[in-house]
Amino acid sequence: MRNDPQKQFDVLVVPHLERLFRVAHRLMGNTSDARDLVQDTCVVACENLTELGIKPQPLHWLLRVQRNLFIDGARRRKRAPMVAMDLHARAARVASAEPGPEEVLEQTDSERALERAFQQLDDNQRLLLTLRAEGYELEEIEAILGIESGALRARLLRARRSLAQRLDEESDRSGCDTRAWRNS
Amino acid sequence: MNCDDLGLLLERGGSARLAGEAGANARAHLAICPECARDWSLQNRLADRRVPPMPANLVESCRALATEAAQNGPGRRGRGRFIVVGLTALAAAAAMLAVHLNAGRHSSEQSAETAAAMPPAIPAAAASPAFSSLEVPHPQGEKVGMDAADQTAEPAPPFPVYVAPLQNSATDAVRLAAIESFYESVLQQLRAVPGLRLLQSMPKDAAPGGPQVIKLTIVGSTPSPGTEFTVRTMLDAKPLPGGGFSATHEFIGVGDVAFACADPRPAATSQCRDPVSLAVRVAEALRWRSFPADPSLHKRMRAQVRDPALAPELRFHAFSELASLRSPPGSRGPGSPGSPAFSDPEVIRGVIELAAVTTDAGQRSELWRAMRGVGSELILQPLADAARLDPAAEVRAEAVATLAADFAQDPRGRAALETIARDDPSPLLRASATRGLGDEATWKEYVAASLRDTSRPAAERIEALLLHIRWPSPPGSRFMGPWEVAEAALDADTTAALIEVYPKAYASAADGAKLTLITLVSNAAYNSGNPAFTNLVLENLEHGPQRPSWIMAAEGLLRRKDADPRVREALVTMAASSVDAQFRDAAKSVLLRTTPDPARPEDSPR
Repeated sequence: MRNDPQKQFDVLVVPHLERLFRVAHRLMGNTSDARDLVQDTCVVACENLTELGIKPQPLHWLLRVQRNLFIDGARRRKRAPMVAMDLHARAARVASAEPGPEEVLEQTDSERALERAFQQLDDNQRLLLTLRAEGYELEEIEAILGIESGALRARLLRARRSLAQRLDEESDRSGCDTRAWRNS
Repeated sequence: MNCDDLGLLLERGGSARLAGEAGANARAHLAICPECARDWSLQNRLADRRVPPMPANLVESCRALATEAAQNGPGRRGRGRFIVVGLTALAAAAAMLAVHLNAGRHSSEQSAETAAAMPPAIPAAAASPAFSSLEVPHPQGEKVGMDAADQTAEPAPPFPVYVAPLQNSATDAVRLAAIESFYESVLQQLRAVPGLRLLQSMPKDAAPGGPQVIKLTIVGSTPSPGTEFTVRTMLDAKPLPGGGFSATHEFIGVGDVAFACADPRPAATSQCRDPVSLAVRVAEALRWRSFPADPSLHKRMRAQVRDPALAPELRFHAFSELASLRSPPGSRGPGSPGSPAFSDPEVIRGVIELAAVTTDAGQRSELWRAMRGVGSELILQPLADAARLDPAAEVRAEAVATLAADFAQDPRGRAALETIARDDPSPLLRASATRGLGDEATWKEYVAASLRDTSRPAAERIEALLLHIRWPSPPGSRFMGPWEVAEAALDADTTAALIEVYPKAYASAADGAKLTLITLVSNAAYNSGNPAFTNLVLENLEHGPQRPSWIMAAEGLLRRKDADPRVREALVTMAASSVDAQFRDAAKSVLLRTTPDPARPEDSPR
């Protein structure tokens, strides 16, 4: 296997693609960018298959690479800011006669507000909350991000509070959009 | 338990459950500590955010990258390839092009929302019903499309566009080639856009003070076996110096390689689904909706509306594009009252002439609706004629509404309304003209009497109420939900009649009216607290059509302080036992979102 990169890739990377994609989608907020991020991660993995092969937890290594690519990409996006939102489900709805339930519910005020608030967090906060939301334990997040547990706890708390604050701001801002539901 | 203990429980996440003594302690703390309760709820909501399944072809594309990387050695980071192929003459038939606009980048100014435009020549009202209820907010002062400055038709300002390499995941050679052809055709179209400078690569750093680059990403796929292919053109952009457009848009075309296109119209307005036609329409949509204001394009559309030599379909397409230009906040897309495109007298004359020649009643309705808010003298006589004489009742209804909204105080408009109120063969039109003359009481009586009249078909019983809800509100009036509007015309008896007639009325209604009815009932259930409306929601939640809409309605009901416990029970049942996994998941999501109650075991973080 060592001489066959394709097989190495199949063993070391492919089993983790689903989890990489889930984290990427939460971070990027849409399928297209998530796909790009995962593919970029794969390119780096391909160039480092030997190193990856000796890692006790290939997934953690891959997530760390993905994290670095995400942060790098975020820096570039900051220089030339662009907005990416998940339009795919909505696109599917136009293409089909009947909206899917998630697609409709996706448009609920609370969910939209949560998504917007989440995307306003700084990149590291989004990353932390994403990993927690994906069910990674603190010890795993420590390993992935290389942050000591005490600091990690504090950052997680700050991230949650920051999200709550932005969510409140979103609610205030979008109040007029929802008055039909809220005015009694 | 204190906040620190709770924080630890929260951090342990997946292994923590609110069970046993620790659970009781946690619940007790959450009940008295809003901050921890909020953190707890947020954790759950984040975990509950939907992540779509991984694209089926991602594994394969990653494998391909692995092979490529192995062949090229370390250091090569590029992926995809810039494909240049000749145009493939592919057969195709009717086309679908959906356009998504997202004003999301204005996060600091206004909430982001989504709207949908429509294939060329199809008015907004004909677009997906799910979209027709969505508003299109846009910040005040935003410069999009034509404005007063465009009237001079100055040359288009230069702007850079970068088109990323094609992402093509087609599963067979024919559709692969079709998607490549689409991509190449888009590039070809873009090269012809005035002012557009096509970049070979995306600059890493924008020059200070220079224009931002618009980035286009084209993704082609074949979601299902067969002959269809999907091409998505996604756009990211920033405001251009001195004004212009800034948005994330997505244009979706569904092509088909199996059928020959026999549509004789130009590609921009045809329904053809071949790659080249799709590309032409995407490029047209980009020019119109995404790129900086293009005076030449606006000028062309204005000329097309006025051109009597053009086919009515083409003129109506141009009209729809003009009508889709910025409308007042809260308006609903093309045809919205007061679209600025119609401040041009020549365009108004073109619209009037078009209304006279088109044989499509739907187009005529749309034309007169779009004129609402314009208030031009030029319109009055033709509008009055349409309100009195158009053979289609739906056209007369829209014309009467516009007449009432803009000309009820004008003696000529008033005379027309009086004639209609006296002579129109349709009782509905007579009643609505009476309302236009200011007689609200007679109108409301008509609405109520219609609803109560069990001798009439359900569709007729409900039509006056639907018109009542859609009646143009006076300028500057506050927003009112459909039930708030409706209940002004209803008493207890007529409300009961509405509830009784609803199922039959829904069954016989057109798609747009169906959505209005669902919205009305949902809104009524939430705002009135009338259990009979709640019953309607519950019945439809369990057995009715459009269940996703009813799930949303149920979510609204759960947000009431005095929420009917049956609503939660119904959702719990749906979450546990619906045969459709989508509904189970949707119901679970609603329950999680609407349950800050820490006593529920399912509230424990995953």
